[in-house]
Amino acid sequence: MSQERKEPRPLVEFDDVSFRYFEHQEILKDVNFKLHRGEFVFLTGPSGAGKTSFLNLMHLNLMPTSGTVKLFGRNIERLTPKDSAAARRKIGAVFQDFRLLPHLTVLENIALPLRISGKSDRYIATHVPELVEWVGLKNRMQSLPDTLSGGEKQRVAIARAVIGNPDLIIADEPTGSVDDEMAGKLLYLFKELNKMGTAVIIATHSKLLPAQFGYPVYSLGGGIMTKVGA
Amino acid sequence: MMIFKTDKALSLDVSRRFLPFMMAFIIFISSIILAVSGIASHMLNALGNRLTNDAIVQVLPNMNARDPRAELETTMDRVRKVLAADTGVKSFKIPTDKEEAELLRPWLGNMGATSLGIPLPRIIILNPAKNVDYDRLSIALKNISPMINIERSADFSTELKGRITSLKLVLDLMMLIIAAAAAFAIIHAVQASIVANRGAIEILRSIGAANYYIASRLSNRILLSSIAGAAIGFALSIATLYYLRSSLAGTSGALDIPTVSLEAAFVLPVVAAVFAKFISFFATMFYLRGKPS
Repeated sequence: MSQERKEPRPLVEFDDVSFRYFEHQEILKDVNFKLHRGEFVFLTGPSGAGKTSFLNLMHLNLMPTSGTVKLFGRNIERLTPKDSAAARRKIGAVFQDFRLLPHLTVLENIALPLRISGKSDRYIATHVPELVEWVGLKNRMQSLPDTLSGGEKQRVAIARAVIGNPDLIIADEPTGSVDDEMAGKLLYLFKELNKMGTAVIIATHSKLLPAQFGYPVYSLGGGIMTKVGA
Repeated sequence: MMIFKTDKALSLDVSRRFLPFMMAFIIFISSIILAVSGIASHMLNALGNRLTNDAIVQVLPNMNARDPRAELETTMDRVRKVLAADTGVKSFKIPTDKEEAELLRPWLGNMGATSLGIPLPRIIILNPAKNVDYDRLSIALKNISPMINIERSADFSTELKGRITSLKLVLDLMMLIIAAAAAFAIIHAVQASIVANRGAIEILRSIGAANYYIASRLSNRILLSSIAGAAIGFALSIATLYYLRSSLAGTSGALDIPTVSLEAAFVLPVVAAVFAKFISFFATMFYLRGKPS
């Protein structure tokens, strides 16, 4: 008797998803994509290819023009604001513009997801400095974002994204502003989290970066998504 | 030691500049209104407890007599006899000087008229029977002296009670208007804070903050501003009420500020701060509800 293996539910699922801003040209055309727990993928493509829009759909910042996006098994268009907030707490996102709060210190910015999740002061005081040290910002703990370089801001954004041990990490050009050594270190952080089951998707215009890791690579161009590597 | 503060994320508190002062003003005005309302209640209470008898016989002294006090006592003896003989009068009571002063206290204050050195009009409180004939009784008493009147206190006190009740209603309405004005001011403060913190709110939402989280942080800020303002208003109002109370204490005919008003002034800032917290919380939830998630 043959036993049919049931495919585990993907964390992210795009079914024939198209997206356009108002009346502009379609940025994404009938995109199909699945990301399961424990997967690590790269998303490549030239600037303006739609990588950020794709990630924004995944992060509930945008809604598809047509098709269905499911996040943690639920259609994102049917999520209430409360559900959206709960879903976002399971996602660690690194944005190109970092989205740091300018009046909070490095330490406080990184602690924010833990605060929002209701973690205790003791937990925060133990875990946040460890991570800050790991990303090489030990001496900048009490600095404000405006006093940091682009690379330092990026490291703060990455630390904030991973501090809550999320189910899914979405990173948009996470190593664009750091040197190769730091880029390798940060990606190692993602890799370690991925080993523990966190799904990771990294958007980058670099072709070298995906090649170093051997993870699946998806390419976006002209609104079409294709799997190009690994 | 590191210091983490949850509501630091929403740093721009534009309401901080006006909310404490507004709250101080509201608490001050409310306390004064409450005190006046307390005085009105006090008067109503006095009317209800002491002057609800059906009638009072008022015997006025004849100030043209050689000895007004002696003549007044003679007249009182004759009045007693007439009342005792009247079948329409079940019983009657002549208040002592102290009781009489107490009866007149709502109008003449703590000192009463004794300090003025004039003979007080004597009053007799009637407990009438059902068959009382006030016209007949009035004629009988007028035969003793034209300076005797029957005051049907029910008529008098009903009118006075009506006026005091109206005053109390106006005061209650004023309290409602003040509460509504405070609620509107808090709602506008919330609106301004949301606009000022728009960027921070977007970032907080992008990392998973629910509306509840943002609303509780904003309302905590409003609560702190309100407590600061309420404390100022409370101090001002208590100082004003105690000053009025102490300076009026020795004044003949002055109205007493009931202790209950002072007690209420203590509760008012707490109520106002909690009120501000709730209004701001629900206003924030309402305004964030309409925003894209």
